[in-house]
Amino acid sequence: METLDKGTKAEEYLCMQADRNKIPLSTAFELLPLCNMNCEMCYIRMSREELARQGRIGSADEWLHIAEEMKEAGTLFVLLTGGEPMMHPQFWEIYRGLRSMGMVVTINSNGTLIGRGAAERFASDLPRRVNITLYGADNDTYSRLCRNPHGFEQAMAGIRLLKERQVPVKLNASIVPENKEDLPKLLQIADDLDLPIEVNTYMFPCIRNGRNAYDPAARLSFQEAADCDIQIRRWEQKERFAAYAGEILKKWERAGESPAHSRQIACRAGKSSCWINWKREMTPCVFMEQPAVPISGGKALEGWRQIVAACAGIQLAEACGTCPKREICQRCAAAAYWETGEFGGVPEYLCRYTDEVIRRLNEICRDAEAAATCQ
Amino acid sequence: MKKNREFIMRTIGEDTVLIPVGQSTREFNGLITMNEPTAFIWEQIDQVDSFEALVDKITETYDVDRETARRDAYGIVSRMVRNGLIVPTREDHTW
Repeated sequence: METLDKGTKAEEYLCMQADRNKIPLSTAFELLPLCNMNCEMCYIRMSREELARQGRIGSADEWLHIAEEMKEAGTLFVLLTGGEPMMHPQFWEIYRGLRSMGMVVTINSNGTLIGRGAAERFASDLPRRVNITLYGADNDTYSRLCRNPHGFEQAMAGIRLLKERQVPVKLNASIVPENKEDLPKLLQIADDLDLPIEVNTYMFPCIRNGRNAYDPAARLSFQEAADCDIQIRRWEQKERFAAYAGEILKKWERAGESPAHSRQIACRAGKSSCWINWKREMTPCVFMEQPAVPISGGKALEGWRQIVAACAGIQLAEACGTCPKREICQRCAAAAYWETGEFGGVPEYLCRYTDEVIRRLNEICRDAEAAATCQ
Repeated sequence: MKKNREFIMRTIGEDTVLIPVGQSTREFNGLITMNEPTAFIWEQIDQVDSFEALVDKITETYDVDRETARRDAYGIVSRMVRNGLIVPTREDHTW
């Protein structure tokens, strides 16, 4: 998961420079694992009792000390996340403190705790963006999936309050069996509100915080995931979808003409981005539990160096680097690890998911050609 | 001149940026990249008491003739004033 998403040209330039020089330009602060909702598929959320057994949340002072160290190391972009970060009792102190350091702050939130007061505070010192995750398109889905029967209306109210005050908002959504029927409506909501939306159809089969086995039924089958993927691409591309399908298929057909992918981590984790979890341990990204380096007590810079070294040593599967589907497949180091137990493993679920996407795109192109012939 | 305190300079590696905070974000919610001469002027702007003193600093630091330094500094300072990054402290607004 990129901690700095949909960047501007200036941001992309800074990322490129930071990747090259191994500067932690973008850091996520996972303030706490608590949330006011309780979503089926969430692998971060803990109850207060579970949290107390494993540790404690950091105070604003602790987080701002870490922020000062990361600032010295080169962090400019901070993502505040959780759980639900606005549940942190000192959320605003942390936000103000980061902003006074000149940090560019993005917040990941479920939006249900954003009332008029919070919207006014954001409006008086704008964040880069507030990413609101929608879990469904109505209260019924929120009730089934998140155990919050008013969650949808609360989230929508929060979004409207932010929009009225010109606070930048992006919608996020993750599709699971309980909300897959809501996908068309979620895309319609984005259209109606004129907001960007990022929809994830791939769910990492990961566990965290000492939980037991992952439940495969918690995510879509590869066919369902591919179906949702196609729906999203069709919505994004609109009338040029058939042409887009052709472009994607060309990447697959011509894979032999392009260089193999490096076996090293392709994303920014351990190059220009990192994740600091609620226990104040630094990891490469939210989906990688290891390496996890404790950084409290002035150890953030050293922690970053360890993360960089560890990530440089991670090797992905050679087969994935030469696979003809490599330009289309979503695999990453974390996905390979969680799907197979090894960074160098081949994630079968993603292979089949990508095969299905390609099959569907081929069908779409054939239908488009047939329609053009008939006209 | 004085800096608008709602712009914070950050240096990341070899790059320098200005970050708006507070109410300034209502005018511009992004980041402003600065080249080296602009960053130098930003750092000096509230340390000198006149435009000519600023030009002195530039010619002391960089291998540039005074006329070029004046011309370039005038352009940079004018843009900074226009965009609200710096504010005149003299009553006649000449500095």
